[in-house]
Amino acid sequence: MNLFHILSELEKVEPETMAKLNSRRDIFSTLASMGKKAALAAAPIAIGSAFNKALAGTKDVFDVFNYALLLEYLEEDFYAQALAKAGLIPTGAPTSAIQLIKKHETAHVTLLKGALGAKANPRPKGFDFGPAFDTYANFLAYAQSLEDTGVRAYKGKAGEIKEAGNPNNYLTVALQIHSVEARHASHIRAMRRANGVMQANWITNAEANGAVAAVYGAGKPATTFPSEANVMQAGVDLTTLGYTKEQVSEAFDEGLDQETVVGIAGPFIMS
Amino acid sequence: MQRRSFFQVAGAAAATSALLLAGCKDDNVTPSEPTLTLGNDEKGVLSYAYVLEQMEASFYQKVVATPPADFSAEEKAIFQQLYEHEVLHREYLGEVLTSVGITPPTNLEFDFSSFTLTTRAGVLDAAQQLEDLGVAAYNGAAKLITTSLYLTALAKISSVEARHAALVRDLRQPGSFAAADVVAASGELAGLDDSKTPLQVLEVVNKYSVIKIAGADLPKA
Repeated sequence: MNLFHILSELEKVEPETMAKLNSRRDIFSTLASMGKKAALAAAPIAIGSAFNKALAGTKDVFDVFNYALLLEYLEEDFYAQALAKAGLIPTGAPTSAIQLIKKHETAHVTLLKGALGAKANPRPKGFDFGPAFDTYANFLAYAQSLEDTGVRAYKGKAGEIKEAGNPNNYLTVALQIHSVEARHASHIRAMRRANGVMQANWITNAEANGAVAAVYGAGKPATTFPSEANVMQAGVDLTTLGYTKEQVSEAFDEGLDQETVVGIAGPFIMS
Repeated sequence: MQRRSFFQVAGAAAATSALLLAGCKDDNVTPSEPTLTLGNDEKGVLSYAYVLEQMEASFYQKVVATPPADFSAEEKAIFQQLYEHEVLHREYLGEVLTSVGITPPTNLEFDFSSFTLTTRAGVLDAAQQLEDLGVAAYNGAAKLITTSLYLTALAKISSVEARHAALVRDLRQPGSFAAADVVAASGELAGLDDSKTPLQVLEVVNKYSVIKIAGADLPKA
């Protein structure tokens, strides 16, 4: 766990993205408030037992589901904290959307706990999202980071569930959650666009646009879990078909390994 | 640059290469082969995915070529990008099929005249149906794939389809990106996206496919 590395990643904005931006003042104000993330570094963040359990290995599908459960606990709590803070999310459509997303994350927790039964890991003591709720822009940047991470995390585990024999049709369930996370990510990205961040509903190259950069980077090993900028699919460089790297990267989402995902999510978990 | 123009600028840069690929589209319909029979193993499932992507690419090609009069410039740009993504998915699945010794079908043709593609509302309605169908199709097909590599290959596409579906839904009805008609709001399936078997999906696909897509031999579990 390299917290300082993650924090420095948080600050990065791709130069090519900046070149596209006109409403720079919005971006810079977002970044300025995100600078408060540095406060996180000063705080002793204890990495909880849930984190260790999640890293302990994935011998069977229950381990995979407990890893998923940890991410869903985290997402659920993130939205609960955001909705509980008066004035953070504008009333009307934005609040309705976040309430719906929160409801889905709660449903995922319920579903995964039900599937795991007695093997379900307990909810961590709490989650500390640092400066995530300081501003609406911060909240959206974190929300995008978590949703895009969720998409990559479930995708990264599909093969493992399959190889575990797909007991109880868990693969289908995992993918049914995976696509819901992608719907959330798409909508949150549009909410950020409406709030002045120039980006699409899908991921261009590995551009974070002020969200957590590691979410879009390569995993371990990078050959299996390339960054979102990957253009090699099925052994073919699809840019050779006459498409730009931006177009190819947007058309495909990449999976991410558990260690990298927990490295991104871990700092938020309190023991 | 105004915020609203994001898709337009991104789309404009894309136009040339998209036209290039459109020109490569294979339209060789062979009247003597009115049926495409999908195989009884995972190669059949990959062929099924290819059919889905070709259907979506054909749909968007039609919309991009003749957009409805009440489409905004931004919507035109968005649909241009959706079209490009679907062509890339099709080309990619074509490479996957070739790698497992299957020649991608060249006789696919679709007729979307049952949709109202002359109005924004009609196009968005059709796009929503096709994108949600795609998401449900991939969710249902995944367990029929036996090789992890190909499973991941499909999942790389399926979440992009879900991103599309959410955007198209929001264009049609703001805030409906994951509404209860696709993501169950209550009951045992609460919080889960739709999942459909290939036979359920092909019943819909065959409403638009000029040749019959026969999926009876596809693996069932």
